Formats: sequence, structure tokens, C-alpha cells
Amino acid sequence: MDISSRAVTSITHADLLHINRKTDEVEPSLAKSWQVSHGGQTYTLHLRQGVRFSDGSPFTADDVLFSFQVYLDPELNAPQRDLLIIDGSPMRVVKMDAYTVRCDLPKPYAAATRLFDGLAMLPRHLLEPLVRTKALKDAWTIGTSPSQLAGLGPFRLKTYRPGQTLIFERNPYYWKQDSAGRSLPYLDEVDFAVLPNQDAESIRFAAGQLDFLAGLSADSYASLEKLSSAQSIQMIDGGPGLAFDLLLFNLNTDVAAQPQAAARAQKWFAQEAFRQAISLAINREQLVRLVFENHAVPLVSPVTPASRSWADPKLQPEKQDLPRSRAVLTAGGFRWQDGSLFDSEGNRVQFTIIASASNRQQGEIATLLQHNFSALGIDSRIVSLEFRSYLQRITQSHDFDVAVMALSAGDSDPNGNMGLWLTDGALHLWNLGEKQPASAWESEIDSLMRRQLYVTDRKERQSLYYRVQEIYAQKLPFLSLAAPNMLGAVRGGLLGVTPSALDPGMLDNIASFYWKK
Amino acid sequence: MRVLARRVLHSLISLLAVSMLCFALLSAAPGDYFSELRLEPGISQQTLRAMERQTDPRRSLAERYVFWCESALRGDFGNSLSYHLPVASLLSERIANTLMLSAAGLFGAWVLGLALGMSEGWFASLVRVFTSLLWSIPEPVLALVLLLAALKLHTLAPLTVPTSEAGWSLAHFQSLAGQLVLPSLAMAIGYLPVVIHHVQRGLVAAREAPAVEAARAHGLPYRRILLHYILPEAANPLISLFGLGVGSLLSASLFVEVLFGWPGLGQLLLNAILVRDTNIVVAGVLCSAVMLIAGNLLADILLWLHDPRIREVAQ
Amino acid sequence: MNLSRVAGGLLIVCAVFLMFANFFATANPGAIDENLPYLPPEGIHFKSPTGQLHLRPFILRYRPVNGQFAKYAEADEKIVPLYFFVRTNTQSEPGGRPAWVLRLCGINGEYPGDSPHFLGTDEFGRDVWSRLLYGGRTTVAIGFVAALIASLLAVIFGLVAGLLRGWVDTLIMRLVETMISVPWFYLLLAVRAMLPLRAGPWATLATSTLLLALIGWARPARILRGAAIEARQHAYVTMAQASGASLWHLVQWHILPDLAPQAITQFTVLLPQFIASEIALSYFGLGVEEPLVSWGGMLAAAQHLSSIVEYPWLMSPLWAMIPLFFAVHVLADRYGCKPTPTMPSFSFE
Repeated sequence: MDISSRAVTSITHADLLHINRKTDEVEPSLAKSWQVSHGGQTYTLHLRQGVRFSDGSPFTADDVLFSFQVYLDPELNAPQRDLLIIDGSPMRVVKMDAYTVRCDLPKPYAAATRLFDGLAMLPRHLLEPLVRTKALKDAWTIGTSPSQLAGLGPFRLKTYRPGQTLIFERNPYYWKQDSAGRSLPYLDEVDFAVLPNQDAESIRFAAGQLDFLAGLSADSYASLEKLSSAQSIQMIDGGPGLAFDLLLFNLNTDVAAQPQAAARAQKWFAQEAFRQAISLAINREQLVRLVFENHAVPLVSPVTPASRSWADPKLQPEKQDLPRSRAVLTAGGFRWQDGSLFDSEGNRVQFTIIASASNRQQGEIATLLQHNFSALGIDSRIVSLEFRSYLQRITQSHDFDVAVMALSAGDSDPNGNMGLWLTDGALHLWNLGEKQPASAWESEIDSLMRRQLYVTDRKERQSLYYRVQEIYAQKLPFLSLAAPNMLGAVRGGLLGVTPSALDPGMLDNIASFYWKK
Repeated sequence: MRVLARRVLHSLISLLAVSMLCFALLSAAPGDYFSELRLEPGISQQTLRAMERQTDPRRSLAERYVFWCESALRGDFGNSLSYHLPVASLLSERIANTLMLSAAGLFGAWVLGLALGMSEGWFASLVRVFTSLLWSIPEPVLALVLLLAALKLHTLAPLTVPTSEAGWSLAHFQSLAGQLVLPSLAMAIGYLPVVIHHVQRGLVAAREAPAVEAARAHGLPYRRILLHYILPEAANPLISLFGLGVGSLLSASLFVEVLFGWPGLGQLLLNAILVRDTNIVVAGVLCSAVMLIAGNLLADILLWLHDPRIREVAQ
Repeated sequence: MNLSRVAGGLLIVCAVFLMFANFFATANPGAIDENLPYLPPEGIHFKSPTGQLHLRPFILRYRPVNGQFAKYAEADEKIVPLYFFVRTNTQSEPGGRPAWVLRLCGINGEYPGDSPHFLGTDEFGRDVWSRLLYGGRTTVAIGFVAALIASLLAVIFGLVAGLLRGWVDTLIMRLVETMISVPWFYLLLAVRAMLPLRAGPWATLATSTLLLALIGWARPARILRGAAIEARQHAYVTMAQASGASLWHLVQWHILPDLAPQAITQFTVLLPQFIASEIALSYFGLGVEEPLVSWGGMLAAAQHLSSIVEYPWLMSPLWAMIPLFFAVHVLADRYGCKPTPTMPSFSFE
């Protein structure tokens, strides 16, 4: 199956605290317990004793300190760094004794314990010399020979062939045990194969060469069901995940050398009424049916059902309503002539939809949207672009009208969506790199999101986040379309696989996968 | 010899042009290696910019090109962004895999192509229909059909390509051959219509050549005419085609490799282009350019050996 | 030659079908029918399930199985007769001006836009038969024009290199080598980046055609150069040259006619390649985009495992290409084949 470097990390490394994927609550991991003091500003973590790295050396508070030092080092630019900077200043970690550390936050932080999930604890004895010589970036990669690597995860890397296979073997020093007291993991070896596409994966799976597939698309799911009807295969539909598909309007104000057509299109997109009319014209149920073959749910906001208690129950996905959509447009000064839509200045409403060519679903969504829009008399064109060219237009040159996109929240907690909501967030894609909120409602979202960061009462946070979603649903800066289900397939007899919305998905509990005797 | 030396010199100029063009085109292609990170929820813009600066502080195209040339002269061809390894070490294994696959495919296509292309009468028409069929099947579809057929026949070879690290044993060779069958078959089928087409056309023309007519008038048996008169008469364009085929050994298998997951140069290259891993792309393209030039040279030498007229021209 | 007659006939039939796509199609190629995704082909029958013979051909309809995606029950008892030369309204949008076209056949639909699906439907319930006809127009046009331009370029470059020799020859051949070695999708990425996003579908179409031609001329140019060198060495060329003929005269009367068969061969080799590369183009945003239909686009959407396993009728463009390629090759053999020059494309530069 396909494997990202983050999945590799989760297999070979472990974190201090871990979010239980079933209950969505934080649980002990390498730290066996923790205390909160100073009104939520100080976290004292008690580490498990006797834990060893996969090379046999012991794990102590020094390793924790070292790991935070690496992640926070401004010169190393670790991707984890931004998560650990709270309200502009970094989290401070102090060693109390060999098995106790204290983390000081600059401010009480709502989801502080969730920060520790997925934060791999690194072996100081191997890496410290490299940090000193500034060689960490080149030396500590997946290409490093396995004898130079060590982690606290259930498996350790045995062989790596770039772009082909990754073979992990059981970590004999792994610290976790099951309820019966047996050491985990159950499996002795896990092989990951890099395959060009899902069709190749499906065929290999059907031939019995693969035992586990995750991240399937709806059509692969259907064909696999058919291909493997004779074999014992368990198909997994884990319900909607954190990923969602959206239609992005280009509301960026810094579009360089705007052609006239683009400026006109942006004027329409800037109108709330126009965006609402477009949303009403979209048949989300049809989209879920035809594109995802019913393995998805229609969405009203980017907060998918996988976010459990954080999605506002008052908001329900809208049904396609062309008469209302037309009424909204008419009220906004638009009119029809021979079935085509014209704006108040007499310009024909036309725009281009871009989609990524490497994502089949996006292309299909674009086709259906084009069809929906033509019912309003809007003339839209689809241009599917190679993935990086497409991203470059959205994130850098801002040269597009509307885009079909797939995004994923980082966490089921509202904090996982900060980048999307905040005006200066990296995922504030409809108006990227904006310094000041463009309108009153945007600054309200900003302040609500900033406030919920430091509110520790769950109910109060909930109501703040509901308010954000209500503002979104009223103003619709982009349109949320659907949240695809998490699909996978497992060979009969391989047990213990459970779906999970958070990274690394179904691989999260790989330590307790086992073969039925 | 002098002619040969001049040719090598010309080829070097070609290679230089290829590498420059590659660099220029890649910098004109939108997006970069870090594009995808821009959608990561946890990474801020500042961090991204810092990461970019760290990997490639040389901003201008010319500077980067000169830096690349230095690394090429050193022999490692720079570091890969996505694999964090020197490109030369990545390429060598991949090239061997690709050569294995393409050579098998090319050989299969020529053997089948010559056999089918030399057929006559109604069978020739049948071959033509068959050729049109092959020509119309896109490679992805062909690959999927072959994979499915292997699946149904329970002959799908296992995934991992064996390496020579374990030493060359018979079992090793067998498993390698098992792996090669499908992708090389796909390559052969993809190339087959071109060979058949050229063989058929060459033979039609050669049958009317004066020497062949003369042989026929002498009442020689057909098989003898075919082997001793028609084939040599038609050989020259086929030799050129063969040269082109050898020249494309490293580049022709791209899609087949991708679709069958064969860990060859093409797969590495395509992926590198999609993620904008420049160093891999330029080095890979240069390798296939060298192969192309070598193929042309081979064709010319073969022609020189085959056709006495050419030897006269050359002297 | 019997075979070439067959080929000619095939070509004419193809041309008629594609030219009068409006008439032969049964539905609007872009019309979505959300209730009928992946509908299997509805065959034309004369004999009803009860054994009764009908003079008027009819189809048997499939019924969607309730609650399941793209699952259809076998044709039910009700027969739906086909009518010929029917006038249909292709404007499916309410409020739009009705647009009437004459169709070869149609049915008395149960709802507006209802039509027979002889080759089934695709993922959006669009009629594959109609898309095949409309798509063929685009694809064949792109393929022919691109192959024609590429062959012309190859002839020109091959001629210039083969006749002038010297440094011009060296330069052109180096260029050819470079063209062949540089992966062309690079070029496509760069071109798409420079092309304005809002260029109309026809402008993109023209660009793609031109790009295919610009990329494709290099290989045939090598071969044609060899043919030109050879042609020049023929006795009658030498004689004409000796009698004071100008270079242009030589080219026009002696060398070009010699080159023609090779040029035609190259054209017939390029044509299928270009039609196939239209699929690859769509990957770079240079392909034919909706609502324009093309075989490349249809196949690009269909080349997935699910289509092959479950919906094989989506592959119908493949079957349509076979007679087309066959006809072109046979005709090229018949009319383009003078004895191929036997001197090889060789030189020690």
C-alpha cells in the first residue's frame, strides 16, 4: 500500500500522549500519567520507566528534552515547529528528574494534550552528534542505514529500497502490552509496497499479494468488491473522514496582471448573493451518488461528521433549489436572456473551473458542477491541470476563477482547522496572504477562533465554534461539497484493523493487527 | 576513426544542449518540490520559505545550472530532493532494471514482428487487422488487461523485483524471468505494430525489386528468394528502425514501468517530473540521450557492415 | 485490389457517421441522466421475450435496482419501439429556446431527454453511442491535422538536411536528437503554464494539435533525411543535375516523388500515435475539455480497472479506432507505395 513519511514515523516512533481514535480522547502513551497545574499553563508528564529504543538503549527525560529542542530549533525548520509555538512563543520543556518533564505554556491552551499526539520522541544518543554538526537534515532520513536509526514504535525499519518497498520488522524492545500481558506487536514483519496507482494495488490485492489496502477511492472499492467476490475479503467503510471536497472562489486581491475577464469574475464572486445562488444550484446528493457511489456525505461546512461533537447540529446540507437560486440572483441584479445569465452591467456570466488531473473524483465533480451551473445559464469551462501546476495557481500565482479542491483538517478538534479559518492562515485559500480581515464577519471568525484556543471549558468552546460555522454558512467564502468515506480492504483473517480519521488512518493501531489462527 | 571521434564530439554538444533545455523547461514548469507542503495544515508560510532557502539557496537558473554541472563532473549528479540520496546511486539500479525489461520487449517485438510481417495472402490481411487493433489500444488499458488476465490465470508474479545482492542463482533467475514476462510482453505488444508495419511495407517494395524479379524468373524456390533476395533488399530501413529501437531502450518503457510497477528508470523519472525533483530528471534524461546516440551509432555500423554501397560512400 | 476497396468503404462509412453525427446520434452528448449511471448497452431486437416477431425494431429497457448504485435488473417485459427520422428537441434546459434536430432514430420517451442507449451510458448517465460519434469528430480532426503538419515538417527538415548536407545537416540532426531525448511532457507543462487559463476550448484544441505536430516531427525527419540522401543518388537525379536542372527542379520532379511513399508511411505511423497521445494531453490540461467530447477524453475517463471489470462498453472508442486505422494503413499501402528506395538512411557525418 501507499505509505507517506508520516505513516513511517507512526510505525517506527511513539508519542508521549496519544489520542484514542475511537473515543477521540487523549490517553497515556510514553507518559504514563500527567497533571495540569497553574490554571492550565503547566503540564507535568510522568514517563514510563524501563522503556527502550529499538536499539536497546533506555528512554529517559533527556530524550524528551532533546526531541523538543530539535522540533523547536529555528534553524532546523522542522514541520512540527509551528504546532509548538503558542501565541507567538514556544512551549518550554524542563526536566524534573530522569522520568519527569514539565511543559510550560505561555498561556492556558485548550487542546494542549492533543499537541503531544504524533510528536515522535527521538533518540538523543544517536542524533545529538548530528545536531551539533548541523548534519541532522541529511543524516536522519529514511535513506539512513537501518542500524543508524532507532525509535520507540512497534516496528523498526529492516530494508528500504527507494520508490519500491519498505520492510519493517518487529521491535523486540517495544514497551506496549495487550490486556493479557503479551508484548506487542503481534506481527513479526510488515512490508509496504509502493505501487503506481490504485488499480495496480487492487489487482495485487486480488491476487493475494497484498493483505491490506487503505485510502481506496469509491470506484476502486466497487471493483475490488467485484474482483474479490470469491475470496474472503473484508471491505471496510469507516464513514466520513476529515477530508472534504470544496469549491473555492478566487477572492484573492493580489492577482497579478488581471485580465478583464478575471476581474469581472472576481466581482461576481465577491457578492454574497452570487455565492449563495451557486451553492443553491449545486446538487450535492447527485454528487455523492455519482462521484462517490454513495460512499460520502453531503456537507454544509468544512467541519465533517468525523469531528464528532464539533459540527454544528443546527446546520444541515442544503438541497438543490434552482428557483430559490434564481430568485437570489435576480435580487442581486442578475438577469437572463435566451437562457444565459448576465450581470447588472450586461456581461455574460462565464468562468473557468480548475481541477487536478491526477484526481479522478475532482474531474467528475467539476463535470457535475458545470452541469449544475448551466442550469442557471452560467457558461463554465473545466481545465484540468497537472497537480503541481494546479497547486501553484491556487497557492502562489492566484491565477484562476474557481477551483475544485480536496482538503483535510489536521485534527478533529477545532484547532486542526486554524489554518483554514484565520485570515493569515496557510489554508485561508480563498484569500491567501491577506494581512487584515477583509470584512467584519472575517474578523469575527478570527476573534472567535483565537478565543476558543484558550477556553478550557468544552461547552463554551463548542458554542464558539458553532458560531464560526454559522457565520460561514451565511457568508459562504467557499462551498463545502462532500466528505468522502474512509475506505479500505483487508484480507480475511487479518484482524484488528479499525478505521480512524486522524493520521495515520487505519495504520494507527498496526501494533495490534494479527492473523486469526 | 576520425569520423568516429567527430561524432562523439557532436554527441557531447547534443548532450549539453539536452541538459540545458531540461533545466530551462523545468524552471518554466509551474510549481516546485514544496508545492504540496503548502496544503499541510500545520506548516506556516515562514517555515516553508525557510525550507526552500535551505535546499536551494542559488536562485538564478544559470547559477543552478553551473552548480549542477559541477556535481555532474564529480559523478554524483547532485542530491535528490525526494529520496535524500545522491542521484547516481539511485539511477544505476534503475537503469539495469529498465535495460532488462526493454531488451526483452524489443527482442520479442522483433521476433514476432518479423514472423508476422513476412506472412502473405489472407493471413497478411488478418495481420493487418490485428495490427490496427494493437495500434488502437492505449498502453494503460493494455497493461490493465494483461494484469487482469494474469490474475485470472493465477500467474501474476509476486511484487518484489529480486536484486543481485543475493548472488545469481538459478532460482533467482527464474523469479526474475517470471517478473519480466508481463511488462516485457506489454512492451513487445506496444512496439509490435510499428515493426509489422515497417516489415510489411519493406517487403512489398522489395518483392518488386529487379534482383528479386530476376531470381523469380530463374525459378528459385520461394523460401530461398525470401531469405536471400527479398530480406536483404528490405533490410536497410529495418536496420535503421532497429537502431532507433535500441536508442529508445531507456525511454520507451516509461508507461509500462509505471503501470506494472516495474522499478526502472522511467518510473523514477516520471515521478521525479511530477514532484519536480530536478536532479533526477536531468540525469535520467541525459542517460536516455546517451542511449539514443549509441543506438544511432549501432545502426550506422550495422548498415556499414550490411551494405557494400555504404562502405563505398563512406570512403 | 479487393482489400483496398473494403478499406475505402470503411473510411467512407466512418466519415459519413462522423460528419452527420447530429443525425446518427440518439442523444445530446453532454446530457446527464443522473438516474442511469453505467447503464449497460440496450440491444436492438426484433423478437420479443415472449417469442413474438415485430416488424418495427425495439429495445428492452433496464430498470434500476432500488437503493443500489449502478445496478440494473435484466430487461423487463415492456418493449420500447424505435422510430425513425424523428425530430427531437435537444435543448434540455427549461427556459432555453428549443433546438430541433433530425435524428435517425428515437423513442417515445417517458421523460424529456429520454433516449435509447445502444452502447450504454457512462458514469453520469450520458449516452456512449452519441459521445462516440461527436468525440470521433474532434479526435480524428486533431489526429489528422497534427500528423499532416508533423509529416510536412519532417519532409521539409529531412529534405533540407539531406540535400544541403554539411553544417546545416549536422545542426538539424543535433536538433532532432535533442527533440527526441527531452521528455516532451516538460514542454507541455511549460506551455500550459503560459497559455491563458481562459483561452476558449477551440484555442486549446488548436494549441494541442500544433504541439503534437511540433513534438512529433523529429523521428520521421531522421528517416526522411535518409530517404532524401538516397533519392539524390539515383541515376536520373544525377543525370538531371548534369543537364543543368536547378535544385528546386530536382526537388520538385525527382526527389519529392521519391520521398512520397516514405512520407506517407510516416504519416500512417504518426496518426495512431497522435490519436493516442490525445489521452496523455488531457493530463496536462491541454486535452479536449468538457463539454467538447473526444475519444481521448472518453478513454482517459475509462482506463480504470472498474471500467474494464464492470463497464466494458466504456471502451467503445477502442473498437471504433480499429476499422479507422485499418483503412488508413491499407489505403496508404495501396496508393503510397512505390518501390521503397533501398539505399539506407546512412551517413558518417
